[in-house]
Amino acid sequence: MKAIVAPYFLLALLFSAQALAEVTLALGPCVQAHVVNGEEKTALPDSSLTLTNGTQQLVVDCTAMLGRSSDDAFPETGEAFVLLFEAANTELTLSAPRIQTRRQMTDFNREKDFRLTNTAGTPVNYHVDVLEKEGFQVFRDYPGELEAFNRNSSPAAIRMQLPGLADADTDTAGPSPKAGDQGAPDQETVRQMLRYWYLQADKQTRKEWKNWIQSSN
Amino acid sequence: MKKLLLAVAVSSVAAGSASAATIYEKDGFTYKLNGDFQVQFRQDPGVDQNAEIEFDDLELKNYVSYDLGNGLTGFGRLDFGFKDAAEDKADAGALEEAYVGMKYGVASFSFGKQNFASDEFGIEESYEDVLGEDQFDNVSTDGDDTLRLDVELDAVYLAASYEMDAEGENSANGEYFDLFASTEFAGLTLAVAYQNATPAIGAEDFDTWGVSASYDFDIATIAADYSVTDETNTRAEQTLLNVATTFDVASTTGVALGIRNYEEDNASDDINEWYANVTYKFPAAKNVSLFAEIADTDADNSDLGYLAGMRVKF
Repeated sequence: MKAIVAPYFLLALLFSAQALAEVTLALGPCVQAHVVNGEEKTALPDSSLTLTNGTQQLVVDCTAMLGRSSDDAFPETGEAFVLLFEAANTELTLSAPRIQTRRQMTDFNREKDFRLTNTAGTPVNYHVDVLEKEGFQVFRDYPGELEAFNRNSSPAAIRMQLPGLADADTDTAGPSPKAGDQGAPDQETVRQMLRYWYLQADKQTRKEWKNWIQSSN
Repeated sequence: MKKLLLAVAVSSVAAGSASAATIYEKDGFTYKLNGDFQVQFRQDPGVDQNAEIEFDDLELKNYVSYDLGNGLTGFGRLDFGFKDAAEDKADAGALEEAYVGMKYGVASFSFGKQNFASDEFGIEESYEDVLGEDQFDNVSTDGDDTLRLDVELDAVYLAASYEMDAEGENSANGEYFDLFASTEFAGLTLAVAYQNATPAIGAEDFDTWGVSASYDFDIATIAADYSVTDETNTRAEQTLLNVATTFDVASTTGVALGIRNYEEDNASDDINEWYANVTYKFPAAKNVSLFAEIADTDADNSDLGYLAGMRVKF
């Protein structure tokens, strides 16, 4: 009996390990994603995203029906926010406070009080900042804006620091990967560097890179 | 459909919109544009009514504001409605609201052509009504010489408005003073409203009062309001009672049921009206909805009314 059960057990373990090798992010009722880890990707409220383990950077906003009655309520979108957090092998929920009035929307834009929690309801740390855009707001280039955003010193920006360079802005709280002190580089740093340069690459460079990876294998 | 925040509406979002409302924003200047297009296939309840295509809301709402510094905002609003024009009515005025104002902190003051404070009153949830939404709606809820003050605190909302009679001027009409207050705590919303109306220059003035309550049970909202207009030398006291409930039957679909009772003191019978409607919001774009409603009254020989329609908001 044990001989029969053991392979199934190992198989189940293997599948569960594979299932956990990623992050599932559920979006709350008003939260909509526009960019997911550098890629333009629209995820509607009450939907979920599957992310690879590691550093996660999203552009999200919240649209709510605002007005003193359902008949007089009109859709209004708050600021676009950049969210940055670390997550691996977990299921998270990203939600905003209940917003029913313009005052609540104004407060939310100011407080940026998203709630990022795991399945146990435990808050997960994140950095957040406004992705500011002046001028016409109708058709925004979120990936382009995020690229520019990542060059500033916001805690929610993905900043890259090459090994050996001095840490120029140690007072900011955002992830700034560093290589290991000696020997083989820290693999987390390698991961973040790969992701960082992938996000910087244009489509052609990404294509070449993917081909190179495949040929290297 | 007015007033009470439907559970489905509260939880709804404008999925798929790039940036709802705000068109342009720079250096403290903001321009927002909203629209509400609603067309119905409808036969009203009553005697010898016929089916037709009705335009309920065909609105474009423009809002501009400037950040004036030190917490002060200057704003203006210009709203156009085209439902009468769509019905080919001769007096199809397109301008619905036109006012300017200043906002500082929780308070804003505006003046121009706009709704009275008592327009905020009421909990009814029907798409169309026969007896009126409430007694304020049956008297008057908007004017063109109106000054209005709104104060929005954390759990309390206050509004006051004054409509000048503008005697001797082109905009001469009635004089109205309105107050509205509401508070919300733990899912319970309570509101009171008052209006003193002088419908025409030199006419007898009269008061209208109203109270309302609604409670959000999460799975459903139940609400009621009662409003009464005092008797005058020419008209008996009038009362209107609304009871309504709303609930979601799916994440995209909400249902509203309601009854209202209208009574005039010297009339032999009061009139009851009931309605039931369902609203479906498309998951990919919840600003687009389909709806249907049936309604009737217990007036003599009244036939069941029905409507079905579509609404697009942005």
